[in-house]
Amino acid sequence: MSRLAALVRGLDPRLKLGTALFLGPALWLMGLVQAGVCAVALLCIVAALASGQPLGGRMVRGLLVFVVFWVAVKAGLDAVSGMEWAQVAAGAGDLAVRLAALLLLGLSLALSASARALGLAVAWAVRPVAGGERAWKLALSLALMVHFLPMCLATVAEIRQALARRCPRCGFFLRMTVIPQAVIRALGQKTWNQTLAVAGRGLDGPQAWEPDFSWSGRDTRCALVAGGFLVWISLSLPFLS
Amino acid sequence: MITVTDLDYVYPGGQGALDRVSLSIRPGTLVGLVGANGSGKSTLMALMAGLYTPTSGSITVDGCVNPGEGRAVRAVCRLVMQDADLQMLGATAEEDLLLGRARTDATVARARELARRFSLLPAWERPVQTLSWGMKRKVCLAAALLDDPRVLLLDEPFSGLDYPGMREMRGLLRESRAVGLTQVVSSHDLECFIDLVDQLVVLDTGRLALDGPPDAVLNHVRSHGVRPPCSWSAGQGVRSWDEESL
Repeated sequence: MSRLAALVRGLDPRLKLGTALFLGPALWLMGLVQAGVCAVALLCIVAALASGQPLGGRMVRGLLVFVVFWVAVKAGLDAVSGMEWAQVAAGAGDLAVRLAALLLLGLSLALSASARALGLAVAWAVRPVAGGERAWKLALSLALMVHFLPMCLATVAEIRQALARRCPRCGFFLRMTVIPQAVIRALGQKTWNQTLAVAGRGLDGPQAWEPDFSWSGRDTRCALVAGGFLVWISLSLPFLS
Repeated sequence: MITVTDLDYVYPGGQGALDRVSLSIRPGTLVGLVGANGSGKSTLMALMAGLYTPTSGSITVDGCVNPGEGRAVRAVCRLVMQDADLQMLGATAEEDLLLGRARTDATVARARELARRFSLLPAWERPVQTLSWGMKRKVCLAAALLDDPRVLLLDEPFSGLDYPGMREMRGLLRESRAVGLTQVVSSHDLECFIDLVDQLVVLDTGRLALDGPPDAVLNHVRSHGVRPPCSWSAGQGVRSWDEESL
């Protein structure tokens, strides 16, 4: 498992991003068997990557809860609309496989490449089209956005905890009024401080976001394997088959 | 190295932060910038780092004048802020230290050497969210030093550190002073670093209240919301920590 995680982490982020960009939309269009194979393969990769991460298990559990929730919603709505149970079950299973595969794809990308690496990979891809000036700003924006997401979640959790302690009897509507205001205030301050930190570290210029990727023989071999896999998947796409 | 002349700063919302502050800092000195909460320490640090533009007056850092040359000021200064989480954009200590630098063998070797000095090598490949508060502070400080700044600005570097962490931070300040780096260290508590300080600057509600060598200033700090160190209050002057040598 750790060898698989090390292999995936060590791959060039451009290869990982390119594969994800192709596979993501294709997951909704490919055959169910291919989607299932993708889901199983991605589950193995995510399990390997998450095993070394302190929050990995929680992320996988959160993902499963998300899938179960939406599958239940779909199944419920289908059943209410009068569909037969067999069709409801087939539809729910189809959604479960595709949604799980898609979320596992995003999770494997997030666990195997840093925010900075992904930002640089996107900037590298758009540089010929958007130009150097926009490309480094895009890299910085993406790195900040990905960096800020867990901070937002942590802030929301802290504010919910604080409210639960200070006002244990306050109702749902009061909480829904207080929490967003407090979150926005806290994040506003963090955003300002982070802007200063970025400028203070000299990261607000193009020289700080020059891509420094190195394509290795291992990347070539993995690209060939991934390419073959993607061709097999492509054969099941409705507009190619 | 740093000359602050009649500096005023008013935040965009209209809240005044600094009022006619003037001071001078010689190269290679370690300056303690102290004051009560809200006295303007962090604002003055950000101005010295070239991150804000003075409302009036000027700051000259290594010959670069702000307003006008804010970007040049930023190139010679590095500000290490209080909240390490906001400054660390890399996923691991390694990636954060190499952020914004070409990944050459020489750069990696230098970053590793600095990490060794800061006892960060065991955490080289660890995700930053698994590092302790003290280690995160050290990564931020190491990243700042990797840029070879002429001036290092540390905003409350001792806050949140335990006793070993404080001793380690003091050791890093001493090392930087030994190599001639100009350092400005802000704090609301003198106890943890007064024995290292060459010049003590006290701010009080945005105004410069006191400025001079610690021995000449410490008798008057209490009236500006700053507690003198215990050894000073006990009539024993400024004492170094434990068996540390100055």
